[in-house]
Amino acid sequence: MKVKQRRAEQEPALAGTLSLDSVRVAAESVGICGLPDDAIRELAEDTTYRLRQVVQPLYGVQSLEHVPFRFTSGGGRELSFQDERDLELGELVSAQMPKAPLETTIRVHWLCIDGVQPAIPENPPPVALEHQKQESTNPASRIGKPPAASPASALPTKSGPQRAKTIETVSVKQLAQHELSVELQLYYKEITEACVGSDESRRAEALQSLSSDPGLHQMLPRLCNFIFEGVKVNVVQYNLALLIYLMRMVKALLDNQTLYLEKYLHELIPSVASCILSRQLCARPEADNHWALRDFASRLLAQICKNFNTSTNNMQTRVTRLFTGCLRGERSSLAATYGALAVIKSFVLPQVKPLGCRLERLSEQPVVSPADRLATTHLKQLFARGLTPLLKQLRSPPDVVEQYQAEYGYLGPMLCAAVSKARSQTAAPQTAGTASLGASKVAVGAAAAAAASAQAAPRLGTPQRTIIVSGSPAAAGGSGRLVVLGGPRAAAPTQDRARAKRGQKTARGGGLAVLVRDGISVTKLKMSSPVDTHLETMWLLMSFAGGRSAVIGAAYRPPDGRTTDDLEALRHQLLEAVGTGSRLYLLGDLNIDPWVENLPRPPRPWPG
Amino acid sequence: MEAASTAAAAAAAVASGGDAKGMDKNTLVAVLQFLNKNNLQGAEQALRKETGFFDAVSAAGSGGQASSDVGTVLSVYKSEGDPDAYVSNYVSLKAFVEKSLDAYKYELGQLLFPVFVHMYLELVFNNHPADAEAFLARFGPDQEDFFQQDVQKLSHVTCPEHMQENELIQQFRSSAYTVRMCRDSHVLLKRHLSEKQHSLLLGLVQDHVVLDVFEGVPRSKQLIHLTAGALEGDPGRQVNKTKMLFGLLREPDIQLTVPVEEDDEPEGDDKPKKKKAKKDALVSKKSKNDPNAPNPSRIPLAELRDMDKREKAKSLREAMKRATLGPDSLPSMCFYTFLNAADNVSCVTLCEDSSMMAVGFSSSTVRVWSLIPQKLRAMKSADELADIDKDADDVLVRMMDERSAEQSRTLAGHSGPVHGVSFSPDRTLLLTCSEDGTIRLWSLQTWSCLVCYKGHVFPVWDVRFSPHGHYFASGGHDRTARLWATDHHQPLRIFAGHLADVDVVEFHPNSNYVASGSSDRSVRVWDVSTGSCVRVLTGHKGVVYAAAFSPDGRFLVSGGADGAVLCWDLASGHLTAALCQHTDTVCCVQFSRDGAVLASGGMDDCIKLWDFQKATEDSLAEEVGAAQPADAKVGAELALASFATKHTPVLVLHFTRRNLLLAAGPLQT
Repeated sequence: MKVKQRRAEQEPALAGTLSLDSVRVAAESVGICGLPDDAIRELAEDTTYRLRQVVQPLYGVQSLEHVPFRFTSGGGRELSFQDERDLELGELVSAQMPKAPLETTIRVHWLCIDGVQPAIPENPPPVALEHQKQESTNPASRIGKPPAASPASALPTKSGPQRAKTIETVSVKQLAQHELSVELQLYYKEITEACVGSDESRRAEALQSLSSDPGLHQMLPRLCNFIFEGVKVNVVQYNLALLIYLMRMVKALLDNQTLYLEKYLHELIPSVASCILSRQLCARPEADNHWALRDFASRLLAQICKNFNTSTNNMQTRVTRLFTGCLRGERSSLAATYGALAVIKSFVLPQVKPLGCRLERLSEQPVVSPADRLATTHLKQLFARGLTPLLKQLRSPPDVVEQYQAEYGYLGPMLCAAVSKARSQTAAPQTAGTASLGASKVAVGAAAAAAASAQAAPRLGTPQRTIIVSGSPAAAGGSGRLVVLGGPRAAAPTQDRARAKRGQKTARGGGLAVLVRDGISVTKLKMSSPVDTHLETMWLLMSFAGGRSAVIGAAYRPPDGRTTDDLEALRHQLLEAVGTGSRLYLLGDLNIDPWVENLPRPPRPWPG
Repeated sequence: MEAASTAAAAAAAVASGGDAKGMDKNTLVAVLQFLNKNNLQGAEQALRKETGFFDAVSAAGSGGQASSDVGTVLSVYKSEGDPDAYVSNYVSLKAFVEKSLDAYKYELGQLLFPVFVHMYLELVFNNHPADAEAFLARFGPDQEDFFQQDVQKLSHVTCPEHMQENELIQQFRSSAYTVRMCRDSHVLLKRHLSEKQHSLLLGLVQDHVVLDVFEGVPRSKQLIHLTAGALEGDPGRQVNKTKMLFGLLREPDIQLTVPVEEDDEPEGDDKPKKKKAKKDALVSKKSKNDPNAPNPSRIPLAELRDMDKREKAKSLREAMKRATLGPDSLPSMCFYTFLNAADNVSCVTLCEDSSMMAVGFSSSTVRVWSLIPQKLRAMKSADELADIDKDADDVLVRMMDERSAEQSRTLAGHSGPVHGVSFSPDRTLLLTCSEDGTIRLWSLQTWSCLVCYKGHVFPVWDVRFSPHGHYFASGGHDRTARLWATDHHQPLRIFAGHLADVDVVEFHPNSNYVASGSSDRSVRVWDVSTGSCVRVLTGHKGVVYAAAFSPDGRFLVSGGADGAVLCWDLASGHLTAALCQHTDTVCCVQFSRDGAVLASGGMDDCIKLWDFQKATEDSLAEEVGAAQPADAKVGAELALASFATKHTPVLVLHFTRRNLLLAAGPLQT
């Protein structure tokens, strides 16, 4: 037996123990007061043990987002509660219904045929992208490894690093293996013919194949060479169509997620740059649309730079220098200058957002040096001046702040304002037809106790708001319009409140309050009142501006009582509410514990 | 829990009844129980020692009583000695193990874990919580990786009251930990214990560890490591000595084949005749008397109906066309990917003729897909059925409603995630088991639930039809595997003995045995006819999730959460090969129809093929009953190929009758 010497800090830490206070609070909450300390200690110990038995470390319950608790004090006791967020009902109503989950389906493919795995999109690529990347960025990694380890013999090679060390001084250049199987040769022929041929549908198929098929890794050198040579020849011959086809091939290869192109950029970049900068690209420059090719190629170049720029190859710098040189050159043709500008445009626009972020961070800092502030202002001005005409061209008229914000981040609103200003200077101002639903915020909550809702009312209820309270007519005298629903304990609300204050849970009153923002008209729906349940519900038909409407249901069910009866009553009401034909939102506190069996709980012993 | 323990007691009674050879033994058991009841431990232990062969029985017996009378069991922990002695004793034992010669070191090293566990429990029992914690913190990390989980659970127990209800503790208490060692190691250990005056250690070893001493050379480090891992230690030497009838049943004569063949191939008379001749040869070869085969009437099997015979003939005919597999001719694989079901699919199975696939979902439903052009049809309604001519040849076809044909059908009825599905051999029934503790039998003709078997108290993890139909086996969280017949609502046998959940069950091709894999990291083989455990196979270092018998019935292969695929020779109970190349849980293992190639797939999104012929040639050559197992082969030389899938764990593997490999799994997005 191998005895392991592991350090103590690697041992998983045990969960903490329950504190005595928590046990005491728990005991008091069920009406047992004055437990002796010894008993509490025993209880805490035992509960901790049980919890550890139940809670598996691996499958622990956790929430994805941080749940914030707020503290308040009242009735001589510290309370912590969770803040409920206001929901934008307007958004909810106008939002698309969530999609139903897709149905489970089966897809069949050949994982291997007679022991050979076919290179189809359903199978993982024969040479992983990571591996290709490593090979091209660190060629030395190949040295010392057996060439092309077959999957069957993929065993850990023991002496990899050591062997590499011993032959360090010898410069080993591995012979590149570019053996193409007969199938791949056929494929190459078909693809290249289809890509530059005249049949548009075949070309689409071929490009689709280039952009999605795994296993093209072996053919990359040939394909890149094909593009390189093709551009070389066709630029001279002013063959615009073929150049466009070749650029589309480059695009397809760039889109292929399983290929790593860095090794072949020395062929691709000159080709693409030629299509941007060439003095003449077509036979009749005055008629043919060679501008489209220049635009397309410039976008390609921007994509290449984005994907493959590293600190070692400095590609972006080199490419930009190339184009700046072209701009400065007196002799370059105007068409080439257009191309160069197009590239720079596609470089600058994606940078707007990150730069905006930086500016935002800067402006949020409490202390900003005057120099920085000045720089920020200047930068903003430069952006507004330089980008406005461009954006005016690029974007179609309705300028929505949110869209700008999403696309350009911090600088979005500013750009939006500048663009719309620029537009309004040229055209007569047009009023936007979209009225926002900003004022239709509705806070809905099911209050557990009538007392609580009555207390809350003055705080929440500013004069323009409507408060609808069920179960506590006493609160009707408060501010605003109140719709009152008679709850089962409506008869003695004052008494209830008094009892609830003393913390006697059994006698508390239930009730519902719905707080409605101004600008929404509310009608209470008549429902058949639930018989023989403690369930309290309230159904409101809300009408929003623009003719939309929704039914809001609020429900509260006290924790004791028969779940089935209450649920049945709720179901009946739901069915009725569905009949209104509006969208339906049900909110509430049903006090149903999914972990506990569906039975009424025994009555609690009366304390004292 | 109570039901589980009573079940354990019942099975223990069954086991002891089965083992007992005569009146003599029964009397002794009675005496032992009497002594135990009256708390006369000295006498009981003396008697137990004198009758060495009683260890297993008495251990099982006390296991049954553990929950009923915890006090007597726990009172074994004497409240003597000071807590520091435990640490010094353990340190000295560890030093003794480390200083021993390499030959004996590993055998003796196996003592460390049980001694560690019981020392900790004694410290807790005698109310030294601080010392216990310190002891655990100091020596816990030294234990092997696969024991860490148990150590973690052990650490939760900090006061004597907890010990009464903790499952793990009861297991440690009820089943003695077995350590196998050779005579020399034993002598060394005895000398160490006696000369150092470690009365504490001596008592512990005597009380809680069964030393299974054998003559001969000590076992090698590799072998010990390969077979270590189970919660109960090594299986005792005697456990795997029972003769197992692993041969196949004699194939029934199929006279019906000729007319069927003419039906299928009406083109000429020559062909069927040729085929028939060939098939006769095939059948006669199988029907030679195999000395290892059980008597066909050992367990009652259902009579073959005409339909079944026709099916058999069809299967044989298909088998003639099947591809021969081997290292040079690997199979083709077809993969069924479930889309939009990443966390929903929990189990998959295919029926024997590969025409249907059943999938159990976490959403409590079961879905059956047809994999062939013929769609799934339901039976006509009763009124329409009355109109059908019952004497017509194609009455079975006419019964089905053509209008109801669908590519897939859903079966809803469970109220918890479905963890196991299994087709009946005749493809008319489907069994499913679920977390709701029930097993359901569905008709694939009416597409409705026929029976709901309630017997397991807790979630049922797996269910499997017998290859001969009628019987089925299940295993669940209540630590039992059970044997059922479709026409009984109560189980026929309860196989109790595992110390943790039974996660997988599998029928032997001759239906006389059931294998079960468990979370206690062991595999057991149970005799259906007597209900006793005939093999205990240890070596997995994690939960066992997959098991398969070789087509010839001689070998069992299991795969588990440790990523290992282990091959066992059922004749001897020895490990023949350990194939450890998966990097994650192995979910399924399957043999090709000729048994030449083994396929395994798992959560590491990978299917691996192994040369099974090579894995077994040694054990087939050596005579049955060799005392010392030959060294098990390890994976490297047996691996044939590995095929990765694209983010798709492999949940099921299935060879068609023609040796095409089908696999299925949900795409993880």
